[in-house]
Amino acid sequence: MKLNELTIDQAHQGLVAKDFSAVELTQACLNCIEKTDSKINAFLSLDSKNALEQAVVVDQRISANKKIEILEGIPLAIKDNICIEKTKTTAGSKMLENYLAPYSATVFNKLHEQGVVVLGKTNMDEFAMGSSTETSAFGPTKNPHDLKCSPGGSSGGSAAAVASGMALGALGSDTGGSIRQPASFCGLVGFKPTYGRVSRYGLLAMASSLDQIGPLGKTVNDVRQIFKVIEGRDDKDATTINLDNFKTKTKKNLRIGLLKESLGQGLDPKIETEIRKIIQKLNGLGIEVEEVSVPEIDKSLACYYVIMPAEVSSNLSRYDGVRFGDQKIAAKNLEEYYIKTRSAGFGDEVKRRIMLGTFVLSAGYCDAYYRQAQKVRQVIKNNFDQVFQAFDFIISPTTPTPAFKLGEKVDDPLAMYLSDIYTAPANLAGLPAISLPIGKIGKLPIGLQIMGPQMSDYEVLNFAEIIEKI
Amino acid sequence: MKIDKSQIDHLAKLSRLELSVKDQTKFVKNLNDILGYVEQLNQVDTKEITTTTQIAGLKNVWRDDVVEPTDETSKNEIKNNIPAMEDDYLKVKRVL
Repeated sequence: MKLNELTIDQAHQGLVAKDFSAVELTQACLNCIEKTDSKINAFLSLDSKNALEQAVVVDQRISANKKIEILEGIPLAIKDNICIEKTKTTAGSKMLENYLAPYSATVFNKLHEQGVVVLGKTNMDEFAMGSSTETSAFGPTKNPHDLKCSPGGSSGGSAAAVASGMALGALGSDTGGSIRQPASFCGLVGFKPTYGRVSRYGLLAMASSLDQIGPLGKTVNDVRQIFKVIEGRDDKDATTINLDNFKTKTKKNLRIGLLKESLGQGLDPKIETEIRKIIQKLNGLGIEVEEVSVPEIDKSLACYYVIMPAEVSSNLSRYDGVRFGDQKIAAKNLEEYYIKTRSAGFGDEVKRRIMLGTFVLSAGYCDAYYRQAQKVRQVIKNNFDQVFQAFDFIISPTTPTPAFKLGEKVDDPLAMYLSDIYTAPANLAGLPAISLPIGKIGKLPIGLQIMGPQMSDYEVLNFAEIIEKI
Repeated sequence: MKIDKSQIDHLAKLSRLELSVKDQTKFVKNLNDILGYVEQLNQVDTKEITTTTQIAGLKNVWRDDVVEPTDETSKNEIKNNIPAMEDDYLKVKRVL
């Protein structure tokens, strides 16, 4: 097996046993990137020099017989909306084409402290707005399983990088499904933690009440190892949760609900067949699965497409060309400078969401749209709370179809939005949710989603591992 | 609720964006499609519901206001991203 195709756990064992060096492992990833990324376009920028230097440091520690951490010397990729000091952070936008982050995100600092080798920054939909990586100002990423298909989005670069062996794992961000949907399309495990469990300091904000950083990897355990390092309270993000009072429960007699609203209309029947097979296998292990309804869950996407653009319109007002932007824009006055900078710097999807958000927040419409959506969000959260009284986890497909063709939905925003229909509810309710691969339709992988109550992150991961092993 | 061309112009103005004629037509259609889809929110009975603001239930997270020193390197890194500066000031077109 090639070094760049190892799981994190296998790579760690190999480093400890001195079967290969951290430099060899990093070089294997860099070689794979050099060989295949011209076709895939997973990376927006590479940092081979720093990556190899970091690998040398790890090798020195191994030679000195020091005990190394699980992630030490492991080559990972990071989505390009997460800041790394002195490194280009574009968020897939022309607006930030030349932006060098003046500080690092907390998640990066935590990985760096563990001795992780960061290979570079991955492609994404512009400011994470999209479900296909096609809204990136730097060209779409291709799905490694079928180059004509989208890898999903917005963390499509991170997913494609791991799926094609360019990195052993990656960080993404998930506002309505942006980790889980690409993980599903690329045959990976992708995990969105409980809202507030991972610091968002240094993540370029899209919709702050929904955004969450999380890992993508080849196995549940790989994802768990990355999550363990990045989670925790951070003084620099007031929405992070203090973990001292939470303990992971080991549960016997798991009660699993199959989300009724995810079945039937809109769902590819072949995906349902694969899910039914998993359920049979769970039954074989003595785990009962019964259908459960989350009554207003079918309003989630509508709710999401009011709250998210509202927050987008507010968050993206900072891009006015004054503190970062293009000097060459000529304008008569300041307002015209703002307008020209924003019109030239943002792509269509970003403009669409800013205008939609401006509309739902505007005088006369705010109560009918934004406030109603916030109330519906609470109703959906209450619905989930009730279901979790009787069930430990809810399972569903991650997406209604496998990866769609590049270009297929690019002119129909609403059709594109519908690919997040099963993933957006977890963001609205702040729940941990994971997608794991459960088979393929033709060449294309499909994913199963598991959602659990807030703060049940490790329980969700443990249950995902049960399914992974059957 | 239907959005027309004059409303798109108004929204673009509020959003500090300028749209080509082609974009105007496209965005009128897109926004109407999306607003038509989100109409279904009105089917949910929310009379007894109070608005959600913090989904994880955190309230009033305070910290002391402490000034942390910034070194020259970070200052320069911030300044290097700014398109126009004079001395230590951001330079913009005159407002008045």
